[in-house]
Amino acid sequence: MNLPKLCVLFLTFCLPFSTAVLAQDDGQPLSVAKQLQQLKRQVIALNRDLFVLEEDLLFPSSTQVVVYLSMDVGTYFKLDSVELKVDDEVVTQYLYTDRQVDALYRGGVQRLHIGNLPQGEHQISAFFIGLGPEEREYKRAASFTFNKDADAKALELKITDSSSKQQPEFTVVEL
Amino acid sequence: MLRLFQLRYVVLLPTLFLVFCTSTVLANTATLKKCQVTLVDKAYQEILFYYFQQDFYQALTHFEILQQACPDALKDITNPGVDPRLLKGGISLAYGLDEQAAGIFERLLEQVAEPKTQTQAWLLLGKSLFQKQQYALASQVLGNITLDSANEFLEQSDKDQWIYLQSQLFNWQQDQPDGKAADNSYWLSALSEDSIYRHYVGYNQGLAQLQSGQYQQAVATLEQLGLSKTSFFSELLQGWLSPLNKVDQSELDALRDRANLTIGYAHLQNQQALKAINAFDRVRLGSLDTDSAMLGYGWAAAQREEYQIALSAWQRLQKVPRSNEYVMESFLASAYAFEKAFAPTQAIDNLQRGLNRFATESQLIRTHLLNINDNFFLTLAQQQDWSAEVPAHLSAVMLSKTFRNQMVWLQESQQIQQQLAQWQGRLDTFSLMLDERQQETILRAQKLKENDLLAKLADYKAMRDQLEALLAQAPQSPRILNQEQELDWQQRLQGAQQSHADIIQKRQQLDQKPLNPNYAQRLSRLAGIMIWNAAENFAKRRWQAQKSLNELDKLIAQTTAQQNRLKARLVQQPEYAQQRARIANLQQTLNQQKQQNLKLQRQQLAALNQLFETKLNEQLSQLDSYKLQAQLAIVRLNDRAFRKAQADKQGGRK
Repeated sequence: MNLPKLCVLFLTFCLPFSTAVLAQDDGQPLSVAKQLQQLKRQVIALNRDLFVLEEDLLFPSSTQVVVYLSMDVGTYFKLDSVELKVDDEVVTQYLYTDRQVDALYRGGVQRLHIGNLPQGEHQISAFFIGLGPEEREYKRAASFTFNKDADAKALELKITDSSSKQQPEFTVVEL
Repeated sequence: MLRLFQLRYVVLLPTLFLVFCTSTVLANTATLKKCQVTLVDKAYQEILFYYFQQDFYQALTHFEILQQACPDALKDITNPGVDPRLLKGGISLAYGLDEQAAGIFERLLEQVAEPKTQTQAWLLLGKSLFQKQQYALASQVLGNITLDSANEFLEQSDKDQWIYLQSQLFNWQQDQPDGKAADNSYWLSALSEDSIYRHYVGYNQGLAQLQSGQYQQAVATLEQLGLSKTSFFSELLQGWLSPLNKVDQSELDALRDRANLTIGYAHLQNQQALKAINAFDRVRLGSLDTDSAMLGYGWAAAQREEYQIALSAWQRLQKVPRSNEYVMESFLASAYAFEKAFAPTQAIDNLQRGLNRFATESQLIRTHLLNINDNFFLTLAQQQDWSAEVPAHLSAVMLSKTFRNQMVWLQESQQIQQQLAQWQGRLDTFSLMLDERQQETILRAQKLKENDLLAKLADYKAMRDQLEALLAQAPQSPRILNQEQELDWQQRLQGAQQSHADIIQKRQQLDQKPLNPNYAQRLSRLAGIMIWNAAENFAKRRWQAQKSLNELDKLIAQTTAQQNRLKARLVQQPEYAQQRARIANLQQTLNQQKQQNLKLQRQQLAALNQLFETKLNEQLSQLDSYKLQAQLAIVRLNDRAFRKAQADKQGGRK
C-alpha cells in the first residue's frame, strides 16, 4: 500500500483554500451560465419596459407628483420614520431600516411617493420622527405649497445638518 | 330685464366650461422633462439608494430606465464620485452579469484616458474575467496595475482586493508551461492591517511558497495563521463588540483549520512526523477538515511507528457518520497498521468490516442513482439552505463546486420564473385597467350627451346676443347700465313713488286735505339725481360693457373650437390602441422569456442529472477500487498466514 504518499500529494497540492476556487471542476457547461446571464439581462430590460409602462398608465405626466427624500450625513438626526400628507390626506407612512438609512447617508435618494394630483395649488406636509441631538426623540414637520401645472412635478424633502445651530433642518424644495 | 351682473355670470360659465375642455387636451400633450440635470441627478441618486442596499436588480433596472429616457444622461450627472459607467459595471459584476460588466469596462478603457478611472476599470475588468474563470486574461489585465498605481489611484479596500486576486491567480500562473514566479513579497506588507483578505492572502502566500519548494518559509507563513487564536471574549461575544470586524469568525476558524491541515501534510511529506502530529492536532474536531486531519494524524503516528496511536485515530474515523474518501481509506490504513503491528487477524477483520462498509455505501449510491429525477433538484433548489442537510453518501457530489454552481443557476432560473409570473399578473391588470378606462370614457361621453352640456354653448351664445341688443338700447335708456347699488336705489325710489301715489289717493277718498307738496318735490329731485348719475357714467360704463362683451366673444370662440375637438374625440371609440400595443409587445417578450427560461431549466436539469450520474458512478468506481484493494490485501494476508502455518507445520515435523 502506498497510501501515505498518495494522501500527502493529494491533500497538499489539491486544496488551495479560497473564497473562489480557481480550478474548473470538470468541464462545467459555461454556456448555461452565459445563457442565464443573457436571460437576466433580458429580464432587466423587460422590467424596465414594464416599469415605464406602469408609470405611464398609472401616473401620467399631466397629473404626476413625485416626492424624493434625501439626507445629510446624519450628525444631528437619525431617521426612523416619515409620514407624508398631501392636501391633509396621508399618502405615505414609511419606516426605515438601518440599511436604508445608511444608503441615504451615503448619498442615495429615496423616491418616497409617486401619485396623481389635479392641476392647481396643493400643500404637502411631511412629519419626520427619529433621534435628534444627544439621542433624544425628535419630531419635526415641514410644509410646502406648490402649484401643479401640466408637467410632472418633482419635490424633495431634505434633511440637512446645520452645524451653526447644532440641529437638523427639514426643508421641502421644488425640483 | 337682463342686467350687467347677469352678464358677468354669463362670462363665468363658459370660462369653467373652457377649463374643462382645455385640461383634457393639455393632459395628452404635456411632455415630461425627464432629462433636466436636476431630475437626472435624482434618478442617479435613486440608483445609489438601491445600490447601497445591495439591491442590484433594482439598481440595474433604474440604470436602464435612465439610459433609455436620456441616453447621454450619465455624462451630465453632477459630482457622481466615481464614473457612473464604472458603477454600472461594478453593479453588473455583483449581479452576476460578467459579460455585460466586461463590455462596460472595455469600452471605458477605450474612451477614458484618466489614470484613476483606468486603474479602477482594470481592477473591475480583471475581477469580472476572474469570475468568468478566464485566468490568463484576468492575470494579464490585473498586471496592468502596478503597486504604485494601486497606491495612488485605488482606495485601500480596492487595493486589498487587487492583492487578493493576485494571490488567487498566483497558483494558476505557476501551473502554466511558461509560468514565472511572480513577485509576491509585497502581498502581506501592502495589505491593510484589518483587511478582510489578510488571512486568505496569507494562506495563498504560504501555499505558493510550498509549491515553489520553500518548505520552511511556507510553514512559517502558514503558522502565522494556523497558530493564531480566537480570544475568549471574541468567542463569547461572536464579534458583537466589534462590528467593524467584517471577517466572520467561523470562516476564520475554517481557514485556520485548513492552514494547520496544510502544515501537517507538508511536515509529513518532509518526514517531520512529530511536527505534523502537532499541526493536525490543532484542527478542530467539528471542522470540515477533521476527517482529513485524522487520517493525516494516523499517518504521522505510523511514520513514527506508533501504530497504537495511528489505529486509535483511524478506528475513530471509521465510526464517523460520513462517507468520504478519508473515512473509506481509514479501513485500508487501519489494516496497514495492524499488519505493521504484527496483528494480521485484526487486519483481516478490519478489511472485512471495510468491505461491508464499501458494500453498504455502494448499495446506497445505486439506490439513489435509480431515484434521481428532475423533481429532486427542483425541490432542492426551492430550499434556501439545502446544503445543511446533505445525505452522507451524496456529500461528495452535492458539496462539489460544480454542483453548487449549477444549483445556484437553477435557483436563479426559478427566481426568474417567479418574477415573470409576477409580471404576467401585472400585465393582466394593465389590460383590465385599460378596459375599465375605456368603459369609463364611454360612460362619461354618454353622460355628457345626457346632460346636454355641449348644447349649453348655444344657449350662452343666445344670451350674449340678447345682451348685445340690450347694450344697443343703452343710449336711449342709460339706466340699463346701472350698477347694483343704483338699481337698489331705483327700486326703493319706485317703491316710495308708489307709496306716495297710494297715500294721495287714500287721502282723497277720505276727504282729507292734500299731502304736503314737499314730498312730491323730494321724490322728483331724487329721480332727477339718479337720471343725472346714469347720464354722467354712461360713456364709461358702455365702454366697460362693450369690453366685457368682446372678451366673452373671444372665450366663446375658443370654447367653440375646444368643443369641436371634444366632439370629434367623442365620436371616436376610446381604444387605447397605443397602450394596448405596448402591452401586447411586452406580453410577447414575456412569453419568449418564459420559454427561454424553461428551456434553460431543462438544460440545467439535464446537466445536473448527468453530473450526479457521473459523480456517483465515479464514487462507485472508487468504492470498487477500495474493495479490490481490501480483497487483495485479505488474499495476501491469508496467503502469508497460510505460508506461515505451513512453515510452522514443517518446522514442527522437523
